[in-house]
Amino acid sequence: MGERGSGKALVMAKRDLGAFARHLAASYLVLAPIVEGGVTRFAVAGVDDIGGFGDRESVPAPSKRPLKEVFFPQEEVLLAFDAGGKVEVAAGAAAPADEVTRVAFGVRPCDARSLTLLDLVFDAADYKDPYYVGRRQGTAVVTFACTEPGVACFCTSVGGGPSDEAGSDLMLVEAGESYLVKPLSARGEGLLRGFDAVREAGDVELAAARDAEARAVGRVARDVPVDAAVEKLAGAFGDAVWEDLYRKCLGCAVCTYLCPTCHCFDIGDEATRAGGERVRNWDSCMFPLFTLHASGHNPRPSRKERFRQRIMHKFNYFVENNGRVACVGCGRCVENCPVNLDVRRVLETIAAL
Amino acid sequence: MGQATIRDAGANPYMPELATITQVTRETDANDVKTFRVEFRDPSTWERFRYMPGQFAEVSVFGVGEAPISITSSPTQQGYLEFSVKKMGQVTTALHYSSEGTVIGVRGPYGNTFPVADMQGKNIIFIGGGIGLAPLRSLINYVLSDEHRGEFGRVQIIYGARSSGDLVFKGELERWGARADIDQVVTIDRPEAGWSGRVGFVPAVLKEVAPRPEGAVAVTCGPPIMIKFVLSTLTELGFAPEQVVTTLEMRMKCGIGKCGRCNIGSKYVCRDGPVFTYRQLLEMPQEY
Amino acid sequence: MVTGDSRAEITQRLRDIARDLLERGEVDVFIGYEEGSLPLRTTPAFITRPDDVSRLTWGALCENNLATYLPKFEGRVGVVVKGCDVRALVNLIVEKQIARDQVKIVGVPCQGVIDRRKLAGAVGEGPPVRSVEETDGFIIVRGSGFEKTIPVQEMLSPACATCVHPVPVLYDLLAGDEARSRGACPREDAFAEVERFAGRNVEDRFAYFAREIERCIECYACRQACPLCYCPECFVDRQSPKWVGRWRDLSDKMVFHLGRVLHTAGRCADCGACRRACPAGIDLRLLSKQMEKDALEFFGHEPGTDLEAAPVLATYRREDPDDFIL
Ligand SMILES: Cc1cc2nc3c(=O)[nH]c(=O)nc-3n(C[C@H](O)[C@H](O)[C@H](O)COP(=O)(O)OP(=O)(O)OC[C@H]3O[C@@H](n4cnc5c(N)ncnc54)[C@H](O)[C@@H]3O)c2cc1C
Ligand code: SF4
Ligand code: SF4
Ligand code: SF4
Ligand code: SF4
Ligand code: FES
Repeated sequence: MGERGSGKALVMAKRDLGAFARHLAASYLVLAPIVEGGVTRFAVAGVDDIGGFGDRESVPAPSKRPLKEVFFPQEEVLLAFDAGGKVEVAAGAAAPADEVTRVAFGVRPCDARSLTLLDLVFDAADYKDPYYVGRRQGTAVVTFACTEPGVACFCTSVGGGPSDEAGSDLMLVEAGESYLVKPLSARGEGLLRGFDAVREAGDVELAAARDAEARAVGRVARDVPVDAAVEKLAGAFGDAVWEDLYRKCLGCAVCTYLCPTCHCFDIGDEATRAGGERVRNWDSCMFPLFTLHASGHNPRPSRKERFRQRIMHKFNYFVENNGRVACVGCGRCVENCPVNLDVRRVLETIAAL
Repeated sequence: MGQATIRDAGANPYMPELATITQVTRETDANDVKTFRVEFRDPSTWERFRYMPGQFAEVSVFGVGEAPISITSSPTQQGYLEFSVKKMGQVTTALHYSSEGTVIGVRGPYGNTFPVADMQGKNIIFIGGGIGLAPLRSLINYVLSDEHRGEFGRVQIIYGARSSGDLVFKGELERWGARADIDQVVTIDRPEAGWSGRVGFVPAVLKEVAPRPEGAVAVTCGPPIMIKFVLSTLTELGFAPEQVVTTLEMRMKCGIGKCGRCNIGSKYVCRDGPVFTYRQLLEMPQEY
Repeated sequence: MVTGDSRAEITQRLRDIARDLLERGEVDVFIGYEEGSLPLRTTPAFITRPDDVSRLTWGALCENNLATYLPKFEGRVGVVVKGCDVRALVNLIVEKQIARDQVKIVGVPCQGVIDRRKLAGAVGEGPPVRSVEETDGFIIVRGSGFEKTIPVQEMLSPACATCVHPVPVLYDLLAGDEARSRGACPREDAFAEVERFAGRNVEDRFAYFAREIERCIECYACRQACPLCYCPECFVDRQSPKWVGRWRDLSDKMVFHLGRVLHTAGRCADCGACRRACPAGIDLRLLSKQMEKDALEFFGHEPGTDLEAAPVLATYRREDPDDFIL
């Protein structure tokens, strides 16, 4: 989003990361991966939480819960109404943001990239979702390049990578004892204003960062034939392969709720004493209720059709409509599926059809 | 298909316009279908709310929820909108309990429109079943309006319901039937005391009536099973798939291509539909 | 303690049994485990051709309860079950979700299942585990620059420690030697943990559940993984009456969790499927275990151990206590 930054790379010492976090916290609401009961999610981080990043060996691993909830929370009130028929946009929501007030800090490149996919849906040319767009405009994204990709990662197979810049405003890359600091937009540059522990990067740091990037790319365990799968999917709707692929699926919403690019939602009303609220919740195509008509007819009656929908939507329908796959290879669905139904294996199977 | 006009992209698309119910008409003997005439509380809303036959709106009962409902009135009838609603679940039941004076929410118009421009100069055959006549009615009244009647050829209406008590828009059916420029056949599934009209399922009656495909367009809406047989009968009668137009239903929430639940393949019924030609249906996955 | 190459032996036994059942046409599909796609995972395998039986495997990472695939199953099926898993299957037979003669129950005398969360704790933060080797009694995990050998017994699921029936109470074929199963937990000790918890004061207990349940994201993986949660329409999905609101605050989540526990009371035998499926790592066990204890104490009912016993909450006896649950 926004203009590109000057592109000039800077560096800061690793030990100054805490100071940088404090610098941000002085002017912005900082959201960072916070561990709650063993689950990492983006939440409002206290100065202590953020400051701590500087002391650790490296920033936290990818959050279990996806970045999307910073922009598209699991539940939110869209409208409030009173018994007299007055309807108002819920307080604080959907405000167009003229300035950046929040920073998402400690983001991973796959999550940052996911925003560019969500933009295609919520910031579309025909209808804009003001709740999402408002938060997006008001939030800068500070991303850390990955050095130690997880075992389920396959970002490099879907156009991303451990130091992919898509969706980020500022990118930090480990370079020995320093971080290479890359402003990627005017907003990213704005975050550095008044922070003087950065200087221009020298050749040594640039080389170190390049090395680290190459090493990380090499550690992405799997090359998934995504393009071949996308091609095959165009004719695979009626294929018998779905019969095999879906069988162990439990039909839960782990893969869709934790996916940073899944964006399906439900809207409904809740009555309150004063009137009521119109609430939006995440929803999942893996649930039978998702498509059930009031008449009882269900166009996707079994887990097979629902599982196929998830794969087809991400790797065929979305591509047809937007020219990109709706997956950033973050591996959350792979790691958290209760039955280890691995989307990478699914794509490999389809590519081999 | 006709393209919808898009509302101001800067506005909050989830914000409904307020409208007052001004008239409630009971349509069926079982009282499971009612037609609601509504007027916008703020007349300037009409500047934003320009619709064409085939489009729908998200109608809300505040505190209960929203449901997608076809606009059954024609844009040629100015100053109000009409929705015919079958009592099915939460929202539709709450609507049925609403009386004149109740304020409801309406957002839209959404979806594409019947391909009115492509229909110019052609004969039009309307084939409806049950409440499926609701979306067709908008186009029928548009075609029959004084402003537009000259743009289209002959009009044929084949309409059926389970019993005479389940026929909707009975007053209008009488008026249409009486017009010289319309051939109308109304049928019910089973014989009934006092019924002098046609008896038989819509697809069977369609076969008997056998409209000619030359220079014609067929427009159909009804229960899924009826649509299925109507499509094959029309093919038998020589209608090419692009001469047949229908309107589809999928569970919907947002109406604006975001919530993701109305896909059929890569198509969003709320945005790319609900109106599709049979040709388009043949190219889509059979998942509706 | 297990000795010898029992993992490999059991694997071989399972393959032989599966081949035999498929070849003789006694089952249409055989459900077991195969290697997963991640270092610490196995995954359910649906085998239909005798040639594919070599995919089957066995080990301490075979965590899923495969009985969850059986309600309303069409056709004849062979299924691998551990001691806890089969108790869910017994319930399914009693509740007429699957006919006894439709299913060939292939039991494994259980040596315990690894708790991946516990293992992750033992490995510690830092670079991820990239490969795992399971030897009898030990699990060796490796990643960039580290290797750790960890005794399996220390990494077992909490349910294993209190398991009273490690050898399946019902089976058609047993893939292994009963004597090699882990020792059964004496029944008196099985509820030590819930008793300890019940001893804490009410505020404490509420705070504990609140903290756990707060994290729930309503993904319903717990419900979907549970063999006993087979209702065509779950109460939380009902629109009228509506049990769970859209705000999804703690009270809504509580309604789901308490409802779930009550619906499985007297049926749940602590297979741990729900707890393992939960991406939020919520303690789904404690309340269920309390129900198991109540079923035993108040009704003398031990869930899933008797094909003839009617479900406790679906029967009434004059001597039933009336202070149960409510
Ligand atoms: C484009 C379009 C036009 C329609 N036009 C009409 C019409 O003119 N008259 C009429 O009576 N009905 C029409 N329907 C069907 C109508 O939308 C459903 O009967 C209605 O949504 C049921 O809502 P409920 O709250 O009463 O039912 P519930 O069972 O309580 O449904 C809950 C919610 O699910 C969704 N939903 C359930 N069933 C459907 C469905 N079949 N289609 C879409 N969404 C559904 C709605 O958002 C609804 O609020 C139309 C549907 C579509 C898609
Ligand atoms: S997480 Fe796994 S089991 Fe659950 S719906 Fe997704 S693929 Fe199926
Ligand atoms: S589909 Fe899986 S790997 Fe791809 S973005 Fe979603 S959660 Fe990540
Ligand atoms: S409630 Fe949990 S432990 Fe009990 S039977 Fe169901 S999945 Fe197993
Ligand atoms: S699996 Fe966990 S997060 Fe999902 S619904 Fe169950 S308790 Fe909640
Ligand atoms: S109704 Fe939401 S995408 Fe069509």
